[in-house]
Amino acid sequence: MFFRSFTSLIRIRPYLTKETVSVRSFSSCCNALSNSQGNKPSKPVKPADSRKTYLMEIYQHFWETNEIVLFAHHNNLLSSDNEQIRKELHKISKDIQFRKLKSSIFRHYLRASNHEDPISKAAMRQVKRKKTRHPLEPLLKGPTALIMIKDLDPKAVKEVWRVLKAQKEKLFLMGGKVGQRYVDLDKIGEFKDLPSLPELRSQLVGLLSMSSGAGIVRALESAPTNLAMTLESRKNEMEKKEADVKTDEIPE
Amino acid sequence: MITKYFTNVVVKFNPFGPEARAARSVLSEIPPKLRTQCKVDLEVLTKNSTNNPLVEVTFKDKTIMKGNPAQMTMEDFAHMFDRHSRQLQFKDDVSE
Repeated sequence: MFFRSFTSLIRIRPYLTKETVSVRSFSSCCNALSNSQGNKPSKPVKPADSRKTYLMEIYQHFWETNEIVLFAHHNNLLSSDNEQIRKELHKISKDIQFRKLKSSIFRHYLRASNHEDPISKAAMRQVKRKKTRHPLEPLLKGPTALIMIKDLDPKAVKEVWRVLKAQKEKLFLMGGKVGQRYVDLDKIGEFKDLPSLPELRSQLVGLLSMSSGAGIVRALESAPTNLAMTLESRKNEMEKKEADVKTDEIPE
Repeated sequence: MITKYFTNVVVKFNPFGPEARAARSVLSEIPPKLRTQCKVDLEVLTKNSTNNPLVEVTFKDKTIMKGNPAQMTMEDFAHMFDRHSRQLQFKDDVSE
């Protein structure tokens, strides 16, 4: 496995950017590490230095490192359109990526994503045997692009939504993955209007510390304080007894 | 598919449904050059929406042709639209 990754790293270099090289070398190191712990090295379906293997690895990296992955249909985008979209998405946040998919390979990745090593032949055999299908697979019937957002941030989704609205039929959202959930367009619309997670938490804390929530806090606190008080009184009792015994012993 | 004589295209589909492949193929057939003269009216349906999937094309001579992408394939649409487009092309050639 390590040898495969190493050779492919050298040979694939022409179409790797600086960023993806580091990604790849990192993931291959992880793979090598996990494989050194007893598992025998797995064989990829396609040659180790092929573009397909590279794509599978990079899709795996995207899928596992991004909290939000949105699927969009792209329609004969000109290079100027591509550039403009990338620029606008980059303006929102540096963590947002846009990538057009090779859908057949991505479909295979989705099906095999439950397997510990999706690139391996074993994963392919498992998919064929179990006839695994993925709920997001229908979105890959046509030219599809991914918009990836690193953090679970509704505001970023809102901005992305706004950028894509301006593109109209050239690029439009269809569904995707938010956190661990698979969502359609309606759910994305609902999600983008939510406040972010830290805000929600602070709201909850505010609600609990206010007068209406204080009752709940007191009720939750009462059980442990009761226990502590009972233990405390028991301790006091025992100490008292010991002291009594000692005082009894002294006269003798 | 001959798209030269299209002036308006309406596409409604649910990307998770069986109509997705045909509808998205029709959409992707429209070249960027046509964007100025042909308006594309797009609606992405979801589970809760009441509209039915639809592909509808208006030609230069105001003829309207439509079909259900859940029951027709991309080839069926191409045949259907090309039949009329070829007539228009023929008229164009004759008038020249």
